[in-house]
Amino acid sequence: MRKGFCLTLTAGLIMLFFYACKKDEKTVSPPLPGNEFLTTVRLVATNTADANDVQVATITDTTIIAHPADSINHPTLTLKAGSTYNVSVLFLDETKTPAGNVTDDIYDRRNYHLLCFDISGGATLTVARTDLDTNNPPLPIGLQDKFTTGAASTGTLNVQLRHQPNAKNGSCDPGSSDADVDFNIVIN
Amino acid sequence: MAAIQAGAQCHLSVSGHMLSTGAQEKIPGVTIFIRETNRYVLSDSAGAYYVDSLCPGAYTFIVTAIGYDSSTLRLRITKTQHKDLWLMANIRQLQAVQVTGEKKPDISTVTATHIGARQLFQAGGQTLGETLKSVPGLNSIQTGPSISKPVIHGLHSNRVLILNNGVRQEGQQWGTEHAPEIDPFIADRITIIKGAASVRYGSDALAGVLLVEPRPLEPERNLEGEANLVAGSNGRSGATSLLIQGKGDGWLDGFNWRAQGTLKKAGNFSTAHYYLKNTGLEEEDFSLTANYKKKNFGVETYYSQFHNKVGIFEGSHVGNVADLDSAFKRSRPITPSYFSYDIARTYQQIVHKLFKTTAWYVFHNGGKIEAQFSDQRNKRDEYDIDLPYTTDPNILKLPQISFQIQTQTIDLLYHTPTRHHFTGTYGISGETQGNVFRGIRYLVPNFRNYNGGAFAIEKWSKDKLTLEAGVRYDYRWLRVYKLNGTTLQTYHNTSTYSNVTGTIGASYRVNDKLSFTTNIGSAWRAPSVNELYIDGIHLSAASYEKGDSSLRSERSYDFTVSGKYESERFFAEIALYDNIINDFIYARPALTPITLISGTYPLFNYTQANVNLKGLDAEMRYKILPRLSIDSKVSLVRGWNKTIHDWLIFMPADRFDNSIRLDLGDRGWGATKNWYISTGLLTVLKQTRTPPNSDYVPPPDGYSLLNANIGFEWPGRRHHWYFDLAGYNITNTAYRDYLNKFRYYCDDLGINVVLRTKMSF
Repeated sequence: MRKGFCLTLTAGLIMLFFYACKKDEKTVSPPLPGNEFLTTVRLVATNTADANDVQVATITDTTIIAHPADSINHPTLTLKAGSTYNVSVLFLDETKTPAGNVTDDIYDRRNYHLLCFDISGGATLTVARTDLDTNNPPLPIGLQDKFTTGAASTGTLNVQLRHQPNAKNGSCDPGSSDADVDFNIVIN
Repeated sequence: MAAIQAGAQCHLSVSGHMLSTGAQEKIPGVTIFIRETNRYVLSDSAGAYYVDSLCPGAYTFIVTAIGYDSSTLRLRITKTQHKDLWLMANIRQLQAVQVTGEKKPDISTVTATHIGARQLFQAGGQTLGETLKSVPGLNSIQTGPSISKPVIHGLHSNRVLILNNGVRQEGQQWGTEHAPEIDPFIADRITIIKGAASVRYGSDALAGVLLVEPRPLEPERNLEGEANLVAGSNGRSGATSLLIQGKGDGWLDGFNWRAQGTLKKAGNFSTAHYYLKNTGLEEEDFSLTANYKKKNFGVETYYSQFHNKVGIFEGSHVGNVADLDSAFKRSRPITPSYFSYDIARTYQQIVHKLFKTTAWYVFHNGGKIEAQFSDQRNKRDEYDIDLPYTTDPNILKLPQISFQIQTQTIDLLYHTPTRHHFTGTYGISGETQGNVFRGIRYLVPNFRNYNGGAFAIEKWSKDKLTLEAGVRYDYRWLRVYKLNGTTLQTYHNTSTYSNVTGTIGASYRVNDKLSFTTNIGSAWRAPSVNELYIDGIHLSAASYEKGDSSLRSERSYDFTVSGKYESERFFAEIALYDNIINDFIYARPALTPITLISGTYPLFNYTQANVNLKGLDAEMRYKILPRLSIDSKVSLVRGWNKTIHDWLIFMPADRFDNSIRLDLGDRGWGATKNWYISTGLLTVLKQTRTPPNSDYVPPPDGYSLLNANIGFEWPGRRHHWYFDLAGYNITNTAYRDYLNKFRYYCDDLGINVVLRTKMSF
């Protein structure tokens, strides 16, 4: 029965050789074309008293885009004292040209998302969310907001995109942060 | 001798001598297990044995002795009789793993512990990691209630090698949340080798080796089997496992087969005070074995599939450190939960397929050659609760992470016959492995891996002394394939690793009861692909990890000394170890955090240091009264980073397991037998030895859990039933364990009552 043993061994070697020649790992799958990365958060503030007064501030993730241009990485928002602004918060994928629009994906799943704003460092700014989702009762989203400024001051505005699948209740606590960035606020 | 009246009375006995075939020597210390009565009998120093209180009928005697092949006999007892039993000297007495189901360790001077069928039954339905926790020196690192990985002497993942039915288990074992893809119901015995054992088993055996061994396929009847049924209150969990096997006769004589399958399901588990949302699991496994055995050769083929889907506790999903902090500060998870069997995102879905075929041949001189080929395919898909930013419904359905790894191995072993007290084992092995990563979230690159190794172990054994030495050489070639982000061209990096490992050991039997063993073993491990190339956020740990492609191999030198005393009333075993690991790879916290769009994360860089793990495992059992025994187990580990003069993180806390057991024997009702009641207190102290700035929150307080068991057997003419009712954490204590990664987010499990039944037929 030594023959049977040798046969098994030979079969094993052949199978090993056969498998060793299949090299699926050599094909590295490229990034999925339809998938977008959240690389950039942008605030676009339009003065309600002057449609030509549009202020923009942008923050880009430098671990994804190593040396972003100033146009996509300028974290200071300058606003006029004693004014109100309509603000849109935009989420972008700057790995693509033109930039991918992540805001729409978030809006599509607005019942699971909430933007939270936190002002610190003495900036006289109040933020009110102006858009609503389709939960029952409807809850704010925060992609559209009204910023009201007081006296001249500076400070920090923290913007968080909270992902709250099946847990959104209007409060910021449930869920996890998909974005968490700090803008510099200058009111003059 | 006058025959005793047959009937309902059980006064028959069998006695005789244990003799070795050939030499015709009388063998002392032979264990005879009588399956039907579940009794153990030992032959005395003159090789005589005596089994009493037998009823008329058929009995199965399973005879085992060190140095001899175990054998199974069917005896039909009609009268008290004399019968000599013959055992064949085992030429392969050093072998552990195997191919043929042989069960003696290849390295006999390392500390090894066995978990037998009875203990496995009492752990039925649990994960592999949980099953092993009863052994001193073992622990488990957990990610919630259903993901658990074995920890030996403070080390885990790819520093603990698992051999599943003789095959190195190869999946994505580097991740602490990637549990071994093994159905514990396939095991009839689990052997835990504590210590560095690369010489016999190859790379990765830095802390130890787990041998998950099915019962050797040698059925006694044409058709027989075993059915397990387990129901647990916590998670309303259920598990069932069925095994049937048989043998051929006539022209099919020598042919045996086995089919085995397991189903498992659990819903949301609950802590002492609340449910854990999305912690259910589903598992379906099966295995098929067939062999053909003749006197001096055999072939066996084995195929198994493991499928599971494990929900990941929803509250553990954190975006960044601020989320983790607030989750930790809450007394209970923010989203209330209830019981449900539903598993939603986040979950893991795993398929593991194993095929192996082995053949052995015994030469006329008693030497034995074995060959084994194996093929494993492991697919792991991880679905996050965070859907990708896309409107494409096909992408929304995809897992965020998907790995597919295929491994083929070939092993050739030769066991020499014993000549002038020398026995040797020589082997060569080869492995090829290909890993394909597909996913939305980049984690680790694709790779191809070739390993080759050769070893020799020689043992010299005379009278009370055994000496042993071994040496091994391994070579590993690793090529990693990556994509250039701008040109979308694939490029590759190649690294090679080569290592020589050795072992030397001695054991001395002072007398029948007392023995000492000492061993110095070495082991090595090449850096895993995540340690080399990971670059990203570790979800649920809220950390950012960066690999280092220039890492070298880790090497360990493990010194163990153990002593064992075993008498009728008293058992004690104590083992001390000192494991020195040079170039130990770990994730060191960086001083500055990393800021991403999703927040600020602590940064961990993979680096190497010289570390040292030492500790003590001890167990003592004492029969206070013939039916009352106490059992105490102690496990202590100290991990120290010698390079930076600090403690090692995530080392198991000191653990004490004390229990008391009352064996009532056959005093229960009716035909039931072997009643027992036991209760135990498990105490785990607070881990106070942790490095600063490496963890988000301090280690949790120590805890004590009260557990209890009651069980009995019910032997029938055709069936043999086993029952066990166990209560875990009976006082419903709220606690958190340092080695459970979800201690940041939630308590550990509350009370659980588990009913286990097994029927052999």
